[in-house]
Amino acid sequence: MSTFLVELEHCIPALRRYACSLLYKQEEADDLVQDCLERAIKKQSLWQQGTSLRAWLFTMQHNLYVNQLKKLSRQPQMSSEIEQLKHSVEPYKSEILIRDIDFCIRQLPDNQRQVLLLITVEGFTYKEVAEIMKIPLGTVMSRLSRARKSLQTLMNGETISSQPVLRRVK
Amino acid sequence: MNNKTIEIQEDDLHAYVDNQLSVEKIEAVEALMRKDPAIAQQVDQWQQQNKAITALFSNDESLPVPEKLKLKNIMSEAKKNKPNTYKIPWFYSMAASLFLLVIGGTLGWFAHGLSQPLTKNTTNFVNSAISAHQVYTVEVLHPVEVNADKQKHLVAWLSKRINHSLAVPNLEEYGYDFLGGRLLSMRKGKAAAQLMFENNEGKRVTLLVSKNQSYRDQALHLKNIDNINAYYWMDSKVAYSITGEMNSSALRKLSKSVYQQLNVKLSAKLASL
Repeated sequence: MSTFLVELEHCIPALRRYACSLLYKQEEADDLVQDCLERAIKKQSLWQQGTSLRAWLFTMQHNLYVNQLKKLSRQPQMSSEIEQLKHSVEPYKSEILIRDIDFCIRQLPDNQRQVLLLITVEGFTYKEVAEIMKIPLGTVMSRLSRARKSLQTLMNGETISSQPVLRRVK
Repeated sequence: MNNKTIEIQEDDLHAYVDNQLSVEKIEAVEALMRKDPAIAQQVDQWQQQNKAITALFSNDESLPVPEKLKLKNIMSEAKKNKPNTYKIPWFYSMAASLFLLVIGGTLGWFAHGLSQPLTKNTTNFVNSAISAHQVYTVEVLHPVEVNADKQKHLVAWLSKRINHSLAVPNLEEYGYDFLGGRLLSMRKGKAAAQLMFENNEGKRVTLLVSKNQSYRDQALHLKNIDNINAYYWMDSKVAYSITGEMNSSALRKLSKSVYQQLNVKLSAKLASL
């Protein structure tokens, strides 16, 4: 196997994680990752050696996601499961911080959650996140700031106001 | 006390938490935290958040990868599907592309002929760009003569044939990858180079480059035929046109980027001589 493929294989868990943060459902997320991997293999000659393959793949996957949204001309919808979860789970009472943060992260607006996870979990620099999501650096910083503050509010058992992700889709 | 000169913003606190802060600012942030317990508490809270988030995802790496995401499966699947990328039976796509090729070619030919006595060279040029776009972007099997993987060879060959040092702009920022290029004949035995780019949805844009156009006008012009838009401009006797089926504002962004990149590449080349 070429070094490209070896490196590509290492990136699969991270790509799945990011796809999940974009699409909620594991199955849909895996479809996106599959598209991304197919495309990466097809376009591997376009990847410049010496540059970050991970950032290249994340950018590609983000593009695929955005195009998919455009194609379906729909907004990122909250799946019914998440909706149920939202209503069935009691506000912050859990003793386990990890379980709790999982729930709270899911409640963040999409774009805040994506920025936060790309930085904390994937360890991308702010600049890389701006390139992956095709947004200005200032937007990365403001989303990060809002994500952290919302998360704090949610962890305190309060609800966050003006969160488009929690609006019911009519 | 040397920290006085460094002003700390909220962004710096985030960067501190994410280990993305410069060394001199780290000291300033730590000094500030010692002075201001509220800030120290804020930073601590964010650090706790980070820890919890990382812990939440820490076992992801060991999760089994489903069969459909295994590279060997994806590669064998890709091989199976290779002849019909668009998942349309090959004879339909063949027939469709041949039909469009003939229509596009015929229209292009007539438009070309008709426009000659009426218009200036640039109009001829942009008409050619549009008809060449129509003819070749619908090609499924052979959209380009030389693929992007042989870019060096392609650039050398086309540069020689159009007698102008060609540069390939990078449009990845806009989601377009370089597919490759081909040589085209223009009026009076002139040659032109067509470079093609494609996005994830299979949408294509082309850049036509031809030298020795006598019309001198550096402004950016727009030409529209049906749903195809073309921006064209001249730059020291070389004419460029970027053509695509997209609205003019989206295309203008691409054109601007191409214009800037080609100027930079050109001056870099001149500097290296």
